[in-house]
Amino acid sequence: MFRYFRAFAWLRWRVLMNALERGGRRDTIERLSRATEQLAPILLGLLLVPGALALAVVGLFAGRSMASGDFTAWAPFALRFTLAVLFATAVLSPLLFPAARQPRNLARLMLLPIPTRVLFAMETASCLADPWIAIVLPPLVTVPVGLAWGGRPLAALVAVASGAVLFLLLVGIAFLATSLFQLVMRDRRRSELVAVILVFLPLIFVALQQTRVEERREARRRAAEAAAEAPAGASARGQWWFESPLTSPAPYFPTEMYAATQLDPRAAPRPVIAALAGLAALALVVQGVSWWVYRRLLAGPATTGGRAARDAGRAWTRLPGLSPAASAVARAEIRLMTRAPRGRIALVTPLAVTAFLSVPVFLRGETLSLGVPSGAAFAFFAGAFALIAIGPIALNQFAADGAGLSLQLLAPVEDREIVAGKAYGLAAAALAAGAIGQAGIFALFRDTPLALALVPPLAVLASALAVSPAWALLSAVFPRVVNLNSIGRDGNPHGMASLLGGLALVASLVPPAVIGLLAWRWMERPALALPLTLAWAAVAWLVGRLLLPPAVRTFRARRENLALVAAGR
Amino acid sequence: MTLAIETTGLTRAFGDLKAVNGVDLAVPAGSFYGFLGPNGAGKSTTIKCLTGLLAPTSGRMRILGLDPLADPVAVKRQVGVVPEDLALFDRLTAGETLRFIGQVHGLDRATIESRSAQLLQLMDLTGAKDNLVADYSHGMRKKVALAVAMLPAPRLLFLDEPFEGIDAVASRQIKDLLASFVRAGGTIFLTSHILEIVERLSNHIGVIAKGRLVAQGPLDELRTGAGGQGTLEEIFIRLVGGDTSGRAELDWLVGER
Repeated sequence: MFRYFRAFAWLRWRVLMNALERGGRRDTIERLSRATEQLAPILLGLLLVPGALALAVVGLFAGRSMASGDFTAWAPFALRFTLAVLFATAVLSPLLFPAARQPRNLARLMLLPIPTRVLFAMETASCLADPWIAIVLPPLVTVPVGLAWGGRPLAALVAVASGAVLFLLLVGIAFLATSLFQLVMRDRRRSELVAVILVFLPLIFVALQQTRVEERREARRRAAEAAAEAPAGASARGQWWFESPLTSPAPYFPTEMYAATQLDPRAAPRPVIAALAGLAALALVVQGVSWWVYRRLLAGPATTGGRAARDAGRAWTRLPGLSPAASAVARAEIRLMTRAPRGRIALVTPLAVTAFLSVPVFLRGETLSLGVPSGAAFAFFAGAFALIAIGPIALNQFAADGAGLSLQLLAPVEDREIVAGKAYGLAAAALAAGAIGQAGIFALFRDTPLALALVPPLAVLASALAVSPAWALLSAVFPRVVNLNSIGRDGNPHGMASLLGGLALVASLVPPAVIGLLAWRWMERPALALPLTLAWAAVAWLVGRLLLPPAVRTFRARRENLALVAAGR
Repeated sequence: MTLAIETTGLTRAFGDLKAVNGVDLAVPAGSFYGFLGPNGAGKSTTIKCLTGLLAPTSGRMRILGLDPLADPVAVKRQVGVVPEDLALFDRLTAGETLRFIGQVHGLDRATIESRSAQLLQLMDLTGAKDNLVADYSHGMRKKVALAVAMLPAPRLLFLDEPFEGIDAVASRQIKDLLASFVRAGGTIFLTSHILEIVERLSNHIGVIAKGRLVAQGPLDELRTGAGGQGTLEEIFIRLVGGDTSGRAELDWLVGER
């Protein structure tokens, strides 16, 4: 067993070190690009040590406060809050952190002469290396010390047991989340469906919450009244557990159950026993389900969810303004946007968000206090959001398509045609999505003056003209191996590309926004908005023309590295 | 005759599709068994079932006299595999990969180091042993996978397309090594589309088509069954029903320019 543990610990450490140290065949820019990408985890690692020390101190003082029956002092509150956040982070880790959803080369692990149960134990134990899990350990150790310091040795013993159970539960649930994520996501069709649901779930949740605002206000008021009327000493008897504003919605949340085990076992034995037993039962259930999911993961193959893609009937038609080769590149880009889950989400999200924001305003008959008619403002938002939404692909346009780039590099296509074709295809996809949203907005807000109604589509087109070559340039400098089936960070472009590309987009969107406000609100001459925006579009076109040659040159200089990254190296 | 691999009614279904359908394999111990079939015939699925990467839907298996479903660890200790997708850790070097495999198989450090050095030298990877596997060419990755399969000195090797992408020099050395392995009593279960290699190396052949085993036995017996003559390619095409008549002529490609 120890041999396996040592081998797996070494494997995890070596893989991490190799990711940081080795550059292989990369050029200097590629190494720099990769190094900047590693900054965040390095900073996280550096913050982990002081963070763990701080949490240890918080745990110590929390234990001491809880020893005197005070569960609402700053330290116990901070401890409970932090534990709850870290627990939620562990559950959501496959969505939040790419490292937590890396395929674990299951085929190789399955070929090893290791019993499945040992493999499961090794894999579960490897979650200890995750910072959001490791950082939980220090406070779980210092809370019993604090309780003992406060003169409650029996409670300290219970805290040791409940801390161990909570940690087992945390590790189990983190591994379960990772395994479940991989089980769901290995089927392409299923993963696409889940990705879309996960993107729209928060929107649906917020929409539902909005309908319950009044109800929740009333519940909070009643809870506050009840708390004011609670008899003194309720905390010591364990009533705080059910009445605390923090825990009242979720008294059975595992970290709150852990906190409940810190009550004085002599004064309130039942809540302590109930919480400890509940925590232990939950840990057992989680380990059992985790084992079952892991077995499922090992038992079945990955499926591709085969599905015939609809043939684009006009795939060979030349797009206006592009050569046949560049048209083919642009069409390939549009197909990527419409067929990859990440691309689909990028196209659908602006429509959903715009509808989510604008429909309630329309239904309530309200007007926005932006100084321009609501229809124009929402139409501008719909178009701008469509540009923002394609960022994850547009800012990594050469590496995002994977082998598709290799195919284009092998084809008799000029570098300029590849760059222009990709920029064209991405902008066309975004503008189409934006146009659908804008059409919907104008169908709702029919009182939008025509002079202003034409401004948002033109403004977004101008931004696309200016920003597309800049995004191509950034994509060539900062490529990143991505998974467009992922909705999380591993589908995102390089951090530097995101930052600089975002700034470029903002810079391209500010002028038309200012023009709209200038004409409508400050000069009170709406008719001026269209010609001024046209003038800005001409400037944006010029900016785009000037940026295209450097983008092409950069792409040409980095072909070799881009091909390597696109191949997943 | 002792069998290294024996299956009875081995079946693996994916939904309605039976990728492997009632296959009865009999691979003698000490043989070089070439397992052939057209694309999508079920070769890789069969190997995955035999090596524990896929659970069979039905049927029985015995590997080296053991039931791989009942005692998978005991089987894996004696078996080396080069799977279809190679299953390597991209972020390890070749040397590190071999070290990990050796550790898991319980080999001591000196043994791991000496065997690794010999295997890397055989595969002509000594100069690149400190590069990440992610930076290797396809052929180099295949060599690493072969080294991984051989390192624990297994009794049985499953090799899924082992020579695809390997250069001629290394290919020759690996073939010689495999032949020596069989002479020393080891068993090899090999799939390959390069029929010349299979014909030269294998003494037993199994042919699978559309999930069913259509022929099996010593190569000479298969030849006798086919009239005592013909190359393995001709026998194979006859067995799997290859028929080129009625296909498009592609005049635009093969016609005069």
